[in-house]
Amino acid sequence: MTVKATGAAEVPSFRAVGVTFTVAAAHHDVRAHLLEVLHAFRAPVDPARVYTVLDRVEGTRREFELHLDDHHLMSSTSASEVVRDLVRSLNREVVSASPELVFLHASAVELGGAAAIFPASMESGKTTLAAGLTRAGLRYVTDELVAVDPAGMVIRPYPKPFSLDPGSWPLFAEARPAAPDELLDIQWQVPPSAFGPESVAAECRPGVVVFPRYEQGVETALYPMSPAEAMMTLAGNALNLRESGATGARTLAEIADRCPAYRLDVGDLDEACRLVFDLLGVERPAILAGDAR
Amino acid sequence: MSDTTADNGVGLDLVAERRPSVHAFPFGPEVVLYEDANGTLHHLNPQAALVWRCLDGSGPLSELAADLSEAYGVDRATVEGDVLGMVGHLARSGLLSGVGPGAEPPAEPLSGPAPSFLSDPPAP
Repeated sequence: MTVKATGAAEVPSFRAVGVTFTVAAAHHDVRAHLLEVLHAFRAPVDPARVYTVLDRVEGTRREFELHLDDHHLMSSTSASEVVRDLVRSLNREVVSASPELVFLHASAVELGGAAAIFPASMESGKTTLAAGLTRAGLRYVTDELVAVDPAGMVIRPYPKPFSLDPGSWPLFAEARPAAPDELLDIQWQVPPSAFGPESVAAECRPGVVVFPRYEQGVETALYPMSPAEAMMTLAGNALNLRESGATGARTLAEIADRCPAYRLDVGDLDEACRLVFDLLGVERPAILAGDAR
Repeated sequence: MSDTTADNGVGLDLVAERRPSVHAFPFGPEVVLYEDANGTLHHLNPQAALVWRCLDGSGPLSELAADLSEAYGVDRATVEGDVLGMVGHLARSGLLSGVGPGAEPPAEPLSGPAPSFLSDPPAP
């Protein structure tokens, strides 16, 4: 067995909300892919954490090991799985590193300093919706964690790569990463730059809250919610409410009080994007100009 | 007169008071409560929110029911039953001082639906 460790001269550094980190990977394709998909986090910082992808080769069998600092996170023969789990690990680290922030399990996009926030559980289509809206010209905040700073009610962007599951691949064929198939066979990690060079949001404020729910064949439609309903549903998607206590509850209450809230049934992505553009009061871009209904 | 049988210590002679660790967020006539001690939320409809606002420890529930009966022109026995039901639920949820199972697990999950009787208007 041979174990290859990184020997690269360049040490890339990244900042994701309150986490500074670097990535070391011996496998050239894994390293290149990680540098591409994490590019929105590049920052000139002294990284506190180290993700390492070791590449173990035994005969014809190749196995990857993912480590965070000295902790072994997982092993897999699938490079795609390793990249996916690195991103998932980063999600967890971002939440635990910033207890002063209130985190929502949500995607979000931004326009004019106001964010449209899409809280939802897994498999609700929040990543697909955020990707569709970013492709249509809105700026990307996150597809997984909306980080709200209670001091000033500011959202700190977390522009992780869009984690697209196979069901969404046909909708975003043009964004397929230029990486070998072995890095893409479980989940695509698509950098926001795939949708344009200016596609990432700066800090912004909550503007509107939409709770999406994807269901094949359902009529795509928005349904208004009361602020109290919105607060309860926001709380159901808050990741650290118990830890943030009354400050967290107050933050959710402010969002519910300030922002119009809707439930969005999604059967058609383009129509859902059109409805969000209408909510934001801006003209639909040409890419969404048609009416699917 | 409605049944005044104690429910977790809740009867018409109870002088109920909101627990200080409960934060109330009003949204028009509705209120969302957050209990700091166990991290739970409760959605009160307008009727339950009205009762909640009145639980200031200044008088027994019989007085509150009488006031509401007079103010809304609803049969007193009906109002007493509704008040006991609402306050009983608040007590079981650990939201009141000195009554209910303060140390017991929360009655409602964090993201669960509002209790049905709090979501429905009181019986006419």
